[in-house]
Amino acid sequence: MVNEWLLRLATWLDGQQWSTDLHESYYMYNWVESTHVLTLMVFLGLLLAIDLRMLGLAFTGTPASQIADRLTPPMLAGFVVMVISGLVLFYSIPVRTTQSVWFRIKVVLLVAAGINALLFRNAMKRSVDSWDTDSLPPARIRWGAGISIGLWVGVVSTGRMIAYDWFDCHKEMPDFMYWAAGCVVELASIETAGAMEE
Amino acid sequence: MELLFIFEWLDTSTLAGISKAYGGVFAMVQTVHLVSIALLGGMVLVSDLRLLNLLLTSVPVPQVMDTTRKWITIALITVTLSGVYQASAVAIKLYHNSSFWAKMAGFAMGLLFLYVVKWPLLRHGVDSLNPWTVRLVAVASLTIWFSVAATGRWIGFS
Amino acid sequence: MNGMNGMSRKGQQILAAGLSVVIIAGWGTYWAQQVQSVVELLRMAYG
Repeated sequence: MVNEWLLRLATWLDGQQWSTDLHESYYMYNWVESTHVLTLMVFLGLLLAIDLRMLGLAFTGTPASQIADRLTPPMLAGFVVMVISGLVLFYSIPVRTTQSVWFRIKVVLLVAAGINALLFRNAMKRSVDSWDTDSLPPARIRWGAGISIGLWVGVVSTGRMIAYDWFDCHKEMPDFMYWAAGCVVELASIETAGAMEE
Repeated sequence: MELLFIFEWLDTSTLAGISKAYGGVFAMVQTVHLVSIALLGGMVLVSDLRLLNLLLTSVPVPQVMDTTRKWITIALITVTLSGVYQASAVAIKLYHNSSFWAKMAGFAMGLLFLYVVKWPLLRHGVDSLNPWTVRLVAVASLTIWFSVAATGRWIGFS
Repeated sequence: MNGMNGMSRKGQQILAAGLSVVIIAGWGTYWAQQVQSVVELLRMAYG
């Protein structure tokens, strides 16, 4: 149900001239992809710097809140451009990406990273006054920072995997993978085959 | 100078046998490479924006340099190891790729600039230095590392 | 690595500033050429 709806949306996007032009344009597509990777460097690099402070591994002589406050604006600037270029990349290859198991895991990890960031921010706001200048923040904060790094490494990793075609819908693979990737056509034919056997 | 033999050797090495055989491992090494690049880029950015007085201005320069130098060194090691692994899978192709050579030139330049020029110069802080020298060094460092990342991305396109 | 430690402070500064200018100019030229070649290709395709 959701898969059909998503595929219809992707097919609609795919039918637009801009989407086709972008995918077929060697230079435009490469510029957008390079922008995505370079802003990833800015965003993730600064995120790592903040999280390493929260783990007590970097900038230990500086108050944690100061590192977070000062590095967050440039980090968010990188984030915004990264998200925009990411949406453009999706727009240029919508159908295949929608039915990519890697892309789906990536979106789940992104949502998880967002929730973790909000929880972390609240936990930090509430308690930071008592440990701001400690070189080693409390365990709760360290866990939050560790989870943040783990989730973002997962996002980068699954994002990189989208380019590989190991689990594309047209491939021969276990039924479970068709379900995970949401391959509408393949799932339908599995269902018909099952009905015929009965 | 003829360097092809290095690439031919790498292409037939045990490492190349492994990197060509396991696509999944290759993709994971690519992730390590990307995350290391982000770590390197982030720390370079913090370091050079501090020198340009645009970031962390209330933190003394030597303190920022100490931390960033440590993490930049770690990132350089992981970026090199994961880079050599990836190169071994496509060694001959890389030898004929102009973006690859632009990237290697930039990488060598970046290493020399960091270890021979930037860090020795800043060893005693910035107070005794001409502010314009410090700004130029920061901009040069940002230029080099941005170029290395950008030409690196372009290897896959050309 | 000792780098420029053997040099005078002033010598270090002059060398660092000079190298920085060369690096910025060099990569600036490289990127200008890249952009120019893309522009030319686009002009051939559409112009």
